[in-house]
Amino acid sequence: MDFTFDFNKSQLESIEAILEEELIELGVECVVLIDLAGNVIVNLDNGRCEHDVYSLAALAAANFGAVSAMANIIGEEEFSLLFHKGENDSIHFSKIGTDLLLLTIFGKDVSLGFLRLKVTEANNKIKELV
Amino acid sequence: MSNDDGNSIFDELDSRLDDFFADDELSFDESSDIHSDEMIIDSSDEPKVKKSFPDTQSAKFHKNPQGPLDTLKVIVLEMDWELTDENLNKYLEEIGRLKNQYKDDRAIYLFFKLHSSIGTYMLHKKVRAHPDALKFLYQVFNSLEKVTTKNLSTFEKNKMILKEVTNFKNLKARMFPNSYSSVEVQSFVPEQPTAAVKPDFSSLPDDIQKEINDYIEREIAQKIEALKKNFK
Amino acid sequence: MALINPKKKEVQVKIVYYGPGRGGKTTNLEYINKKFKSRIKSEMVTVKTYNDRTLFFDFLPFDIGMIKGYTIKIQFYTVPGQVKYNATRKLVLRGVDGIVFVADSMTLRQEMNIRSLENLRENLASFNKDLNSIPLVIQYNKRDLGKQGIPILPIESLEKDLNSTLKASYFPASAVTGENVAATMKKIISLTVISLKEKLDLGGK
Repeated sequence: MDFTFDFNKSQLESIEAILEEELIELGVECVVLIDLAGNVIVNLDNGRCEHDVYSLAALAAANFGAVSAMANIIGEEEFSLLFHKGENDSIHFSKIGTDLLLLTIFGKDVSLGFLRLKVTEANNKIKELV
Repeated sequence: MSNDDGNSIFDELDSRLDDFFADDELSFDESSDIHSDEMIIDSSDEPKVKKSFPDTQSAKFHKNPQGPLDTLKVIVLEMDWELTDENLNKYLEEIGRLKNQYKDDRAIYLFFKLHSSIGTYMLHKKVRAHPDALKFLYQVFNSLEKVTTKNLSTFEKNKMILKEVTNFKNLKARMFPNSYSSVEVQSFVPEQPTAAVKPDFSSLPDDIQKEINDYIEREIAQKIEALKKNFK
Repeated sequence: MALINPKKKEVQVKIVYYGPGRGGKTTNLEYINKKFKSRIKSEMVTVKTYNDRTLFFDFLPFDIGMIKGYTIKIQFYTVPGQVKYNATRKLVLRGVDGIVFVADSMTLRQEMNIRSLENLRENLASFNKDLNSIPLVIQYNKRDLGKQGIPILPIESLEKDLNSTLKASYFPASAVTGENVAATMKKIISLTVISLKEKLDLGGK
């Protein structure tokens, strides 16, 4: 199936408010909500982050697709924890519903355990909106 | 949609594309290496620097906990990956056990009290917890590790616990800016009911009380000096 | 499908260069990236294997400016042409708005062109899309090889093989020299954006 997403302005504003409250305030550097075709739906940052979010979204969507295919090969529907750890910054991926992906880029100060709780909370709130 | 609209989008599009793909003012060296400016992500690239896993991720703790804090460390690392009721309860249980084990070492005992306060708070609050609470928990754990593994004098141990108690006080002030001694504070610090802004150290041994008072006096003196300099 | 963001007044359009392996899809994007570097402003991303073949895709995004009050962001992708990478091709095709089929003019590649086009049709069908109705431009690449004495198929023969029922716009081209590379791209952007006209009108309200 294909993906058709149309978000109206108020939905986008609500999503931004959720991401701001749950994640930016936690101290993450950048949050990007994308669809699985690699389109950027919402991106927010702490004001000190200058990543090329469009390229990031294209690669993240492809990466997610590749990882899902790997999961299927070993008999899993999907992997629940997708996370890349860097020396200073890390990326966490979380699927929202069936067609969206939330990328969170965060530094060493943020605990992955706590971030995952926050992402789950944001995830539930966004699912109610879309 | 009217025909006019249809034409206008055609016109707009044509003009945008003509602007973009116009040849004027572009210099193009056909012989230049076409790959030179690209950002290439080569899947065959080896990492430039090979890094060993940090100690905190070592599997040895999972296999055969030996030191007094190893079980606690396993739980703390697990919490770093994922916070659940299960591992928070395990954590509090282990802290309870350690508190009992170290009841005669006042400084270390106080470390565990801090741990249980913050652990209880995390268990109650979870996703609504203050972002700094978990950071504080890890920080206290790191100090605790130092206190238990390095051969520190009582003075040094007391100094470290004092520092963490001060940090804890500051954290509480950040968590509950409007009602510092509110019910909420009490609910997650059942073993250490606070006496508002001034903490009650009377339950501590005399030497630790003296350390604390000396420390606070030194800190205040330093702050006053710093302020004086600023106003000069 | 193109993503329209009414808050940022932005449309993201996805165009995929498809075709058999070593047909010149990446070279098309590289040429554009190099020639229009000063206007593109973003980096081309390419995920390659050790022997310089596209493993996953190339990605080249740029803005073409404002249309009907919306910033139009065009995102070009190529697919890996090698037969074994079909799963990856399907991933890249997800959400596609327009396609450039880059056919290889070399006589030797006649069969591969036909198979690749068939593979495109099947992969689109898995997303409930029809090759006959999606914006499509066909490019007959490597026309320059004829001058070097390498046997290439005449355009009429390529048209018969690939475009007899589709009747898509087509360009004889050479990605290496740049001949008709920009023209191909202009055409596909134009067809794709026009196909989104109704959606843009609705989004603008």
